[in-house]
Amino acid sequence: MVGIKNRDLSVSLLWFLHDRVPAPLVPWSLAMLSELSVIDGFWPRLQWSLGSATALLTAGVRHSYACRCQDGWRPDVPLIAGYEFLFSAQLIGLLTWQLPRLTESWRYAIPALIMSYGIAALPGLLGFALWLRDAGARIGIIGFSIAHILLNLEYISRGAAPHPALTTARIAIDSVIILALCRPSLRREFQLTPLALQLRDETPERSCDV
Amino acid sequence: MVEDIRFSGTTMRLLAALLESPRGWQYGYDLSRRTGLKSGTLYPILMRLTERDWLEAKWEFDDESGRPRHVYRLTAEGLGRARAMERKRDASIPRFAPQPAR
Repeated sequence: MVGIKNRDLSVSLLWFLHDRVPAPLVPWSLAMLSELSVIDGFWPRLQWSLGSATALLTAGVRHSYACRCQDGWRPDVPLIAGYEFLFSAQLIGLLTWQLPRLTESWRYAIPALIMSYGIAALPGLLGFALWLRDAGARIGIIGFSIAHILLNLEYISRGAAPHPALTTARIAIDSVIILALCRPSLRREFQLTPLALQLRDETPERSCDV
Repeated sequence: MVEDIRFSGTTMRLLAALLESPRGWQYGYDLSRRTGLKSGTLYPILMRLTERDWLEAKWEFDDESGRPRHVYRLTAEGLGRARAMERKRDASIPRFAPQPAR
């Protein structure tokens, strides 16, 4: 439909996006492409193309977000899960980076390392479980966030935090996570299923008659 | 409802450009040059205005290049609302009495 003869970088970039944008944005990507037929010069064309690409990407993200929200998808759970996963990755990375600096013998270090890696993996595992809609993971993350807040507050009060601004930001993030996970809508979605505790019908047989 | 679009300065600038020839079809690149808006700013506004039926768009063959291009103009509804917004903006600009020259 759009007769573009010269497929330079600007045209290629917009064609690349045109093939990938959601259907309602296709006429817009063609409209942006068609304007390139009257723009001369490498930089003005590239500028037009980059601006249009930004507009298409933003609109594309907005469109898919709106569609997923209509399907009952909520962004908070993946965001929290992603944050917890990154937190774990950071802790594991930090531990691994410090391994060459170990002065203790491996015999004594290994149990402590196993424990440390276990604790470091915990938020990631909880995040993964939350992403899988596990009700226990919601409570686990709330507990972990409370513990993390208390730990960070202790660091700040002792003046032991190397970057107090960063520690304060972590406290703020943890607080937001707790608030988000305590919202009634999320609580309803992650309701724990009550265990069906039921005594067996049979009456216990007496082992001996009195 | 007039207040359903957040009118930033850039939106007002685009509406002003569209109001210059209210019933004429205008090209995207021409609008960009006249308003000074980059494509990354212009298209999101065009999309939003079209979504809300303030603007209509169609394909038209360009006389110079002979190629199809997307053209835009205000709908009757958009025209009325854009004029109302312009009047509202003009009314909100404080008017100062001219000072006598010293």
